[in-house]
Amino acid sequence: MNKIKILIIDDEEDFCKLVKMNLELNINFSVETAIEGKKGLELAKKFKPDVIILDIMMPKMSGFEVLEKLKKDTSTITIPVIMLTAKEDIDFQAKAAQLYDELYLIKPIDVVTLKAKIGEVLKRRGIEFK
Amino acid sequence: MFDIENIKESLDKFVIDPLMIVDAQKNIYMVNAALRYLVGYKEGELIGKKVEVIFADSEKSILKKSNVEKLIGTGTILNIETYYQTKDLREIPVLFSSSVMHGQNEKDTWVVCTARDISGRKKVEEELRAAYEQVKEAQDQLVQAEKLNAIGLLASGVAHEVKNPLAIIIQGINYLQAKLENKERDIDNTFSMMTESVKRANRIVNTLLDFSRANKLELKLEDVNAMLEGALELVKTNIKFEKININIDTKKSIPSIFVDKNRLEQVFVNLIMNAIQAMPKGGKIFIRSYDKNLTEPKQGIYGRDDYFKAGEKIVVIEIADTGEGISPAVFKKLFNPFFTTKGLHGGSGIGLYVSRNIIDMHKGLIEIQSTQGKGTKVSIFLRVPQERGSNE
Repeated sequence: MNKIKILIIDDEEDFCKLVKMNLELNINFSVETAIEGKKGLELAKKFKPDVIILDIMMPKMSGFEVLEKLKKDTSTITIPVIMLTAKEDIDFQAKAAQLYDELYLIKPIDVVTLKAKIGEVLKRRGIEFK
Repeated sequence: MFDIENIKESLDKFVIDPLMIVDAQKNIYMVNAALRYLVGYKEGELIGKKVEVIFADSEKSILKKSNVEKLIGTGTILNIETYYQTKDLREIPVLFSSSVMHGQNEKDTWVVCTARDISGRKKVEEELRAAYEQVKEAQDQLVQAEKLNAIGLLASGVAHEVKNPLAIIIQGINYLQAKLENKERDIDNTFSMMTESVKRANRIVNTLLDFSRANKLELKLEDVNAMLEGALELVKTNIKFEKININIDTKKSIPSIFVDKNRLEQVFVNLIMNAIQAMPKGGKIFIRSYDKNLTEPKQGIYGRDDYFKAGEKIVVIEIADTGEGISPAVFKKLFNPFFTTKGLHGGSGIGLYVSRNIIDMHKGLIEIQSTQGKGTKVSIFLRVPQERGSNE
């Protein structure tokens, strides 16, 4: 079975590292990280992840801008995105949902919940993981 | 030299300002037409009377009935604000001056008193002062609202900044938990404590977010009485009611209103908890709901004037206690965020602030009346949707 590829785009470097470490405890996961939007977009094309975990509040390029670019590029348009926000603001959630019907999660988030959300997203695409 | 007899007639007729001449014994010797008109006496009525007769005994002035006799012969008095008393005992504000004049011999000593009626000026001053107070109050309210907005923004900013490190900590704990399998009990306990602490910190941050007005309302047609019951149930699970007697008087056919049920229940819980905490030795809580038509418009929170119009149908919720009441000093600060009288472990000081914001978001109004030693009543006014209101 091919590994499930996850791309994390979040300006909090330690958060990226720890999520990668946590997910990769499961050998079925392969995780790449980017701490800013531009690098994230490059990796999205090259790495072709199954799921992208994308932080909304980032300097330089916000999560919404990254999302918009992902959805305007034929090579990344089909990749499901889980939006992450530390701001419990319904506007963000509404915006994310309206834009491309993506999921969102509110920080702080534990590994069990994160995995469940990834599972949910993959299931929509017909991929199951253990 | 000053010869009073020569000028008496001229003074009477031609001096426009009210004037009188008082003799050395402080008896009134002459009063001109302007003064007679001002104080309402007829010609001759005041002659020979003690000068004090036309002074009011006003606390507002240093020159009054009780001391005028002593003061006016001693020298020149210039432009003192005092009060004349009319024949029908009204007080008229005047700008008073007097000077001592000497005639041909030493016994011939007179005090000439003039006064200018300043009631018009006073009235304008009062109006200006009232207008100034109004403007100042409106400005204070605006400043307060601005400040609170700033705090709200700050709170949501801080919340964001704190949630990121919390996210890292929880991921770190998860990783260590996974890596240290078959761990000792102590380690397991430590992880649990750390996880609980992160959750607690997150709850505090969420309270801060509640404090800012970032969250939106989910408005639905709801029954106020059901919400009051819900709030009471919530409070009952936390508090023992040994010494508290709750008296409920809710109107059965009260119209439903468009509200966010959870938010409004939160307000009711806050208010009932405040009532309980105001009565450490026990007492009564009165919970009332009813609807009515407003007979006059009501200003909204922060002085907003677009909330309630006369004739509008509203629902009123009252929560009253028989506690100690609120002192005027505390009353002023009631809605200030982080203000509490409950001590370190009593409250965060944002209950009333958040409650008011929630009511404000509903375009409603919250009012507090309190009498020290008797108790406090909080009233909430919420609008009944028009179509329903007219059917009820």
